[in-house]
Formats: sequence, C-alpha cells, structure tokens
Amino acid sequence: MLVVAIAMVLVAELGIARLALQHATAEAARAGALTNDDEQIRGTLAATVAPLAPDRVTSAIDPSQAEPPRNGDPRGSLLTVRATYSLPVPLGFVGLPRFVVTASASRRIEWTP
Amino acid sequence: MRGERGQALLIAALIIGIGALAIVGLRLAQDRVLASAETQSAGEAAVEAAAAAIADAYIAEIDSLRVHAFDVPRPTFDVAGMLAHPATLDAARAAASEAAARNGAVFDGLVKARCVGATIEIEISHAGRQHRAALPVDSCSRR
Repeated sequence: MLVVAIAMVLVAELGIARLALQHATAEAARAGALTNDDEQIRGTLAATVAPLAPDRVTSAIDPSQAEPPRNGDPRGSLLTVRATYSLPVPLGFVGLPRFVVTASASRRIEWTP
Repeated sequence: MRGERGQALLIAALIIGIGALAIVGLRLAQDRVLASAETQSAGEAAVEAAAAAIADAYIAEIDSLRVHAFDVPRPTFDVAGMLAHPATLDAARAAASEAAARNGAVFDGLVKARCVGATIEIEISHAGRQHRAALPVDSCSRR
C-alpha cells in the first residue's frame, strides 16, 4: 500500500514536471525569438519553470547564439529550446532509477540586428 | 483465523486495485492536459510565425515605396491589397506550418489577415482553437 501511495505521488509530480517544463520551454523560446540572446533564454527558462527547481533543469538551445544564422541576421529562422528535468525519486539512494522529463518548444525568430 | 486473513487480503487487494486505477486515471488525465498545452503552444507559435511573415511583407512593401518615393504619380500603399495578395498569405501559411511542425503539430488551415483601424489582425484556426496576433501599423487606408 505504501508503494501504491508513493507511486501516486510520483505520477502526480511527473505530471506537474511535464506541464511546467512544457510551459517553461515555450516561454524561453518566445524570449529567444524576441531577443536572440541565450542568457535571456536561460533566464526565462529558470524563471518560468516553477514549481520545479531551476538547478535541476538542464537546457539546450538549437542553434546556439554563436552559430549561424543566429550570429548574423536570424529573422525568419526557427529557434528550439529543449529542457530536461530529473525528478527526485523517494528511496533513490537505494538505487531506484530517476525519472527524466523532457520538453521542447520552437519559435520563429522575430529579432533583427 | 483463516477467515480474518482472507478478509484482510481481500481488503488489501481492493485498496491496491483502487490505487492502481487512480494512478492510471491520473496518468491519462495528465496526458490530456499536456496534449492540450502542447496544442495551444503550437498554435501560438504558428500564429506568431504567420504574423512575423506578414510583418516582413509589410516592411518589404514600405521599403519598395521608399525606393519609388519620388515617382510621379507617387505610389500608394494598399495595406488591404497586400494582405489579400496570395504571396503574402502563402508566406504566412508556410511560416505557420513550419513553426507548428517544429512544435510537433500539423497546421494545414488558412491564415486570415485583415486591417482594422491601425492594426493588422492575423488569425488562424488550429485544432479547433482560434489564435490571434496583432501588428500595429500606421494606417490601413491607402497613403
């Protein structure tokens, strides 16, 4: 019964994490479309990923700010933000695997140099 | 004694069954909520992309007018004509489709654009939902 209770809590947490991460990547991609700035993208992701802990979230931006077309005139191209969150699992210290939640969102870049 | 054990086992099995059912239900509900959020996000990305494509067409038209600013007669900017032009709508639709596809959705609807007052309103219908974006412009009338 304890296992069932833990499983219910985990599934609920998993759902919250999926939804929060989806929302955060969409907001981060939107910020990137307007600013073309990786720092702004990461800052928006960290600010909007609540209630998840931002330090548990890893992100990838494709293409990065140093790559073409984003290092030139990127207007009209697409920017994708991917985020991964590893969900802390009760009894994880005994070797239970962690749940990893991923989400991604893309936006057309509107920023002009 | 054996009867009491049997009852306890039955109750435990019932509670575990209810728990398992609750987990499955929770998971299904979550999948629906997440799918809805993803559809909403893809629709927003699509309408924003369509609006950006129309903004590009608007800017290109203004640039073209600037080049011919000293022509006689002076060229006029027909915003409604630009919005109704198939090339403008095709570009907006292509941008919307591309953005939706990158967000894991398919957009095969129409992009509607109209000028109201000093605003271009862009509207798409995606997965049964309406998404709108607006672009401020100088004026909708011929200048």
